Amino acid sequence: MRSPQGRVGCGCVAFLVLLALLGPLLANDEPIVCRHAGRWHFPGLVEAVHVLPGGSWLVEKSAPFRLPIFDAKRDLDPTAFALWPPVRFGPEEVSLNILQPPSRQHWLGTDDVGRAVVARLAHAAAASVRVGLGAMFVAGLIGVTIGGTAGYFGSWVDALLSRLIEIVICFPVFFLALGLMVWLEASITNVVLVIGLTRWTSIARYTRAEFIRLKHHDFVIAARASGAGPLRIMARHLLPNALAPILVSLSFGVAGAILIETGLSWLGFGVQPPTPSWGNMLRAAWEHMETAPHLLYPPCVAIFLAVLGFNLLGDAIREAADPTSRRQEATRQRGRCTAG
Amino acid sequence: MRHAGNCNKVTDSRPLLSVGDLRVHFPIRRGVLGHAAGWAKAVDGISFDIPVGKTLGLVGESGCGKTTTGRAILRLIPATGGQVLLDGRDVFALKRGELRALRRNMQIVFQDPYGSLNPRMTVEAIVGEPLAVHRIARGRQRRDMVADVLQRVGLQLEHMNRYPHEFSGGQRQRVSIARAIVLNPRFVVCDECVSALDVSVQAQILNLLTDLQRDLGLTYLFIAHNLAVVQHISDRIAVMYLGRIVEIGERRDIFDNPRHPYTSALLASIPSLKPGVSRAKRRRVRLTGEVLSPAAVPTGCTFHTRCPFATELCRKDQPVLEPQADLHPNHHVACHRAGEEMMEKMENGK
Repeated sequence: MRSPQGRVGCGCVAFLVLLALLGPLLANDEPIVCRHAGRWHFPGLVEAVHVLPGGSWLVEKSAPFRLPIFDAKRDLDPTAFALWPPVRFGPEEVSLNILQPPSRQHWLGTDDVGRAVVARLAHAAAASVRVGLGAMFVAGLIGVTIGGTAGYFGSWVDALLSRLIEIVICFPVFFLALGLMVWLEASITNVVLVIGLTRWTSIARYTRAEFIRLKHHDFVIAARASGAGPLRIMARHLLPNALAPILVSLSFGVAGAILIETGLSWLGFGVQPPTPSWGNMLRAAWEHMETAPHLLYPPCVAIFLAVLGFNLLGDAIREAADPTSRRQEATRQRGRCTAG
Repeated sequence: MRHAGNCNKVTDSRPLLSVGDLRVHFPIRRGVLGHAAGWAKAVDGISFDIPVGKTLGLVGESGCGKTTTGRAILRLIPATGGQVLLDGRDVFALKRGELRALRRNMQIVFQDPYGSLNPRMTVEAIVGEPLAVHRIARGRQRRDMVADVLQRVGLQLEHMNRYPHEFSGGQRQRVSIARAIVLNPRFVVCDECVSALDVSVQAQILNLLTDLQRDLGLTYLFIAHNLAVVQHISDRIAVMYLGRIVEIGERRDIFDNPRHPYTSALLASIPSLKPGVSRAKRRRVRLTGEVLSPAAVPTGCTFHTRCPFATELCRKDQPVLEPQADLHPNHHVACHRAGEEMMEKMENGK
C-alpha cells in the first residue's frame, strides 16, 4: 500500500463502503434519532442496520415510521428533538420540483420525478457494493473449490475441471447474465447469483496454478507425512499461501461485477426502480440528456471512481505480495535517498 | 534371510525397517499425449534392514536417488516395486486408514529448513498439527505437549507463538525435528537434514538427533551427500550410486576398508585436519564428470563411465551386491574388482 495509486484505490474503496453502510444516516427523509409523542425513535439507525445483510431480521422499524402515511418532515412536532442527516431527502422521496439544476437545497439537482440526486447517489452505493462483494463472495467460493480441487488432485480430476473452466470462460459473461435475467425475477440477489456463477473462472485458474506450485513444497509433504488429509492440507497449508493472487483477482472481479450490474440496470434487468442504482439513474438521466445534462455526471463519476478504486486496490495487493516489485521499490527509494 | 535381496541381515537384533528390492521409476513423458517415452530409474532395486534403535547412513551424490528412497519408504511417492516392512507390516499394502495410523510411527525431517515449515503457521500450530490430525490432544493439553517437545529439541516456550521467518536455519530445523517427534514415532527419515546448515550448527543438530535417539529409542534412516556428516551418527552406512547401493557395511568397515572405488572417492573428498593419519590407509581416488542421469543408465556397472579402474567386464556385466571373502560378512560390495586391494587396482587399472 506504499504507492500513491494504492492509497487512492484504498481511499476510493473505503469511501464507497462507508457510503454504502452509512447512506441512510447521510441522506434520508427520516431523522437519525428523534423524540415523538413522548417516545424515542431511531428510524435512520434502523434503516442503516437494514442495509447490512440479514439486518432486517435483527431490528424492526418502529411505529409511527413504519406507517406509509407518516411523513416525518410534516408530522413531527417541530419543537420535539430530532437529529437529521446532512441531506434531508430520501432516495425515493418524490417532489414537484423536477429536473432542477444543482442548488443549495438540492446539491446535485433533482431527477425526472423530483427526487434528490444526491440522496439516490448515496443509497445506490449500497446496491453496487452489495452486488460487487456478494457476487465475488459467491465466485470466490466456487472458484477456490473447483480450482483448488483441480490443482491438488491433478491428473484426470484436473483435466475434467479445467475443461469445465474453459467451457464457462467461452460464454460472454454479460450476455449470459442478460439471458438469465430475462428468465429470473430482477432482484439484487439474482444479479449477485448470476454474476457469481459466471465470474469464478479466473479465480479458479489462479487457485489451481498456486496449488500446483505449492503442493510439492516440503511443508505440504510434511503435512502428508503426518497423515493430514486433502481437506486439511488445502485449507491450512495451500489456501493461506495462495491467497495473494486470489485476492487480486477478487478485487478486479468486484470492479467487473459493479460494471455488469450497472449495465444490467441500465437495460432494466438489474435493480428495479424506485430502488436507486447507478445504472438505472444513468438510464433516467440519459432520457433527459438535452433538458437536464447535469443528471448524467453524478452516476458516471461514481461508477468511474468505484471501478478505478477496486482496480487500483487489486494492483496494490499484487504489488505488495510480489517480492520482485517490492525489491524494485526498495531500490527506487534508495535512489531517492541518495538523490536527496 | 527373510526375503530375496535381503542380504544385509544384522544378526543381533530384529530389524524395525526392512526394505526389499525397492524400485521407483518415473515415466519421462513426451509429446502432446504425454505417453511414457522412457523411464528414469531413480531407485532401482535396493535392499537394506535397519535394526531397532540403530541408524543407517545413506550416502551418495545429488540425483542418485537417496531422497526418493526416503520418500518412497514413507509412501510419500508411489514405489514401482519392492517391499517395505515397518515393524513387520507391509507399508505398501496398507489401506488409507491403516496408512494414516501407521504414519504415527514414521516421520521425516527435510533438508531445506526454509521450505519445510508453512510460513503462515506459528510454531505451535506447526508442531501441534500431527497431534490434531491424529486427534491425540486438543486445547490446553495439546499446548502442553507442544511445549514439552519444544523444550526437548532445545527451543524455548516463548518461541511457540512465533512464525518460521523469525528463526535461524538451525532453529527452524529444531522446529522440524519437534514436528517429527511429537507423535513419538519409532522410525524417522532424516533427509539431508543438516546439509543446508553451517558446520557449527550441523554439529548441534547431529548431537540433538543422537540424544533423541538415545532417549526415545528412535531408528533413523539418515540421508546425506557427504560421508563426514554420517560418520558420527551412523551404525551402518550404505553408499548409493545411480539408484543402486554399491557398498554397504558397518561404519568402521566403510571408513577403514572401502572396497568400491566410488566409496573411496567419497572418502577422499572429506577434508581432513590430520592428513598423515587418516589418509594413510586410503588411496586418493579422484572422480571426473557428473553423476549420470537416471534416465540414461549405462550398461554393465553403472559406475564404469567414471571409474578409473573399469575393465571390459565392467562395461558389459553388472556387478551384484555381495559379501567379499576377505571382508566382514556384513560388508557387501557391488564391484567386479572389489577383491583386489586399492593399490593393486591402481597398478593394474588403465
